[in-house]
Amino acid sequence: MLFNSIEFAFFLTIVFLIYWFVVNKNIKYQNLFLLLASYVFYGSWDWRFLFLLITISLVNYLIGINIDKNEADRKKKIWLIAGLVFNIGILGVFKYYNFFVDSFIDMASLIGYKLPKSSTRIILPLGISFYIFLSLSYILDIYKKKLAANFNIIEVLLSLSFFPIILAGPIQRPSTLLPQIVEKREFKYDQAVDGLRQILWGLFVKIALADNLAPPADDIFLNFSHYSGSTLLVGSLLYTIQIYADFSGYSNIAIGTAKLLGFRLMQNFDYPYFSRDITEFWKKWHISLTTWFRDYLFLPISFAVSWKIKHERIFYIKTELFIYIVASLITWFLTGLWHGANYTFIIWGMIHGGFLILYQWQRKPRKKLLKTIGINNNNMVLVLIETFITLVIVILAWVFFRSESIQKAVEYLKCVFSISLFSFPQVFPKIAILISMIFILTEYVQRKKQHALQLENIKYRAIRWGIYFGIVFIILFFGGGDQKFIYFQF
Amino acid sequence: MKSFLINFSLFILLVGSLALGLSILSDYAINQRKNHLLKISKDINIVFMGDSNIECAVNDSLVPNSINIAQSGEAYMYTYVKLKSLLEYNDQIKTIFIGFSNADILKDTEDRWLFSDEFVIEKIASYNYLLNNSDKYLLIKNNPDAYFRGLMKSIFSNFKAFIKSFSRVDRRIRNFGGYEYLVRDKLQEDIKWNLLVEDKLHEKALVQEKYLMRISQLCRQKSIKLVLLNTPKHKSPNTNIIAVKKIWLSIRNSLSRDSLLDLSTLSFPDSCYSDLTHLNYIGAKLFSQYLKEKLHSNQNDTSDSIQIGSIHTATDNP
Repeated sequence: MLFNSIEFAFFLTIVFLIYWFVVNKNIKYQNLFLLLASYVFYGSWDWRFLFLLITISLVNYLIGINIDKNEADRKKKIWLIAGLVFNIGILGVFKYYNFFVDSFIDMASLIGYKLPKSSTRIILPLGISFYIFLSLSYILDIYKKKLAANFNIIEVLLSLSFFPIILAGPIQRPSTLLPQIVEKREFKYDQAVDGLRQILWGLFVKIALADNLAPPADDIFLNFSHYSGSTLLVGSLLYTIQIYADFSGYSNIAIGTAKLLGFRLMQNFDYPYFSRDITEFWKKWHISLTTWFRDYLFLPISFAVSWKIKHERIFYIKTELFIYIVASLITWFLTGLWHGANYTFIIWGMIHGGFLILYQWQRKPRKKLLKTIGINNNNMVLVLIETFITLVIVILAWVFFRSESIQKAVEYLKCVFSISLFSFPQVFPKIAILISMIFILTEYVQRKKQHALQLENIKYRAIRWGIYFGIVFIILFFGGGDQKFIYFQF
Repeated sequence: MKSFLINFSLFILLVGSLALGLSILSDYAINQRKNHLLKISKDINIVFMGDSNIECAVNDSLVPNSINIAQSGEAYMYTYVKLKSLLEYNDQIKTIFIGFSNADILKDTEDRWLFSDEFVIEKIASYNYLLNNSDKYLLIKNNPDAYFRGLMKSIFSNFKAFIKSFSRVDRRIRNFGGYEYLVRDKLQEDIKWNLLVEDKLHEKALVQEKYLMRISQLCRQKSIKLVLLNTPKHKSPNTNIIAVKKIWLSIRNSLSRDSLLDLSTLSFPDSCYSDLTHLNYIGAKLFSQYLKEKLHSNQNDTSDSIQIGSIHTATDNP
């Protein structure tokens, strides 16, 4: 049941009506109903994996209680380690088994041992990376005493499998979702209307934009050796917009759906392509994942390393920067690996990690330089140049992210920077490009808002409805073919 | 809550009514201009139809007096309605070449081409106005969601075709497919993958068979020569698995009155293939020139109008 399907529209309508009209008198019934709806939603993909989701949620519920109720630090730590091993072990088996086995066989063949290809292939359960991360944050927050273990099993299970976020986020940590689950929810007209608007915008960017960009982008990446440099450049631009439209579209539908049910989820994208530097980009792209890695990996590593280092410089590098480098490299290696079991994702992560380190390193010299030559930090030309450079870095990294192998990504980039870069592109999807321009312009104008369809400043209902009708008909008339959400594979 | 539900219902009702109204109007508009849309040049008397095998193999600019209206993933149901409407306005058509490859006769492919979201949306957007109620019912029964989405897309597509029908100058018929200049190269990848494929149990595509019979009947009624055309396929091991061949032969035998031009074993170099079953633009050029010569030699042959059904192609190499 995809968010952009008629089945989901029916499902959501039924859930909405029962939720607000039948089980609305009692919070317990509401939560139980939402939990059942979440399991129906997840089970509609593959009911076998529903048992995996329930098992993971139950185990984490029990571990949470055991961490909380033990007074002794040692026992708490043992339970936490058990929880970490369990969650990461499950993720490792389901997501990385094939990758590690294949890599081992390849490595063995490099040193002369021919091992047979493994015939066991493990199917990746949908959304596993997301609900494992929810579970990890649940037990980690209890261990750090940021959250008290909840003994109500329904509430905990719901926080770990809430259907708007179960498949591809936002990774709304139980520490912020559980308080909303526990409290009685009232229907608020403005919130529900805003939820519908956000869903509409999400559907627009997914169906009318991402799904129209997918076929030409796929074609160019699949057959890149036959295309000119200019076409490949167009391909990488199309993919850059496609992945943003696809994932931000999904997030908008998820957040909007939650709003209809009286929940507030965190913003997952904040117009990232208008970022001036790579640090800003990562504050605005997939915010729930970035903050997750920041809080549970980057900061703990930074603190752990800083406790051990007593010198001012290490390898001629200032300790502060050295710590940043170590923590960044580990975090971005794992961020890349989180996205998928392929070396391309690791390289993608390392490119971002590398540029973040470079940015950190040049921050002070840059400030001095600007002061010396007398350029204001908010100079329009400077802002435009820096935004452009950031976008180029992001696009370059997307080529690795999208390619099937590192070799193909390198070949792709080589072909881009060839003499044929100065020819007219062989592929030029006019409608998709026109919709992209409408999208970028709307996002730019509305960049201060939570989503681009927040139109409360337009007083007249007729105008607002006219805009909604326009969007609905663009979706109906120009919507692309049926495409799954890209982030479902992660 | 009450005002929310009223506003939302009103919005949905308005969208639904508007969409329905536009759909009816667009269908009416395109039907009014059907004769302009489907009328082709008087000198064209050969039509190539079918799926991507034909779409990519026949460059109609190289075959005199012909038009290629094949389209990838085209089930015979669509081929039938396209042909029927084309013949209504073009009595000069004398020969129809229709794709007849392994992909056309298997149930797996039939399910995908007839009922998968991707193909229902794409085909309904282009051909809804040509379908009769029972064809539409078949699609709605199997995939209502995709049919609805295709129907919505047909509104814009129909209006666009309607406007263009006043100024049509090109050789192609709008939204009817046509020769595809294929550059894709995944032959080696396909060969590797194909070696792993086992000869599993295959089922016959019954709906495909039914519409192919209708096509055959229609051609007979209009005294048009129907030629089942199997385009060149790569000589990789496993491309001709036995179970598939049996089904292919059984359907062919039930159409014994129509000609067969089985060129699947016609040998081309690897550089002519895009994958195991599709010719690329180089292969299409060679194959179209070959077809041109064959058609030309048949025109000179006075013994029978077209003898191509009896051509033995195993040793035919261009």
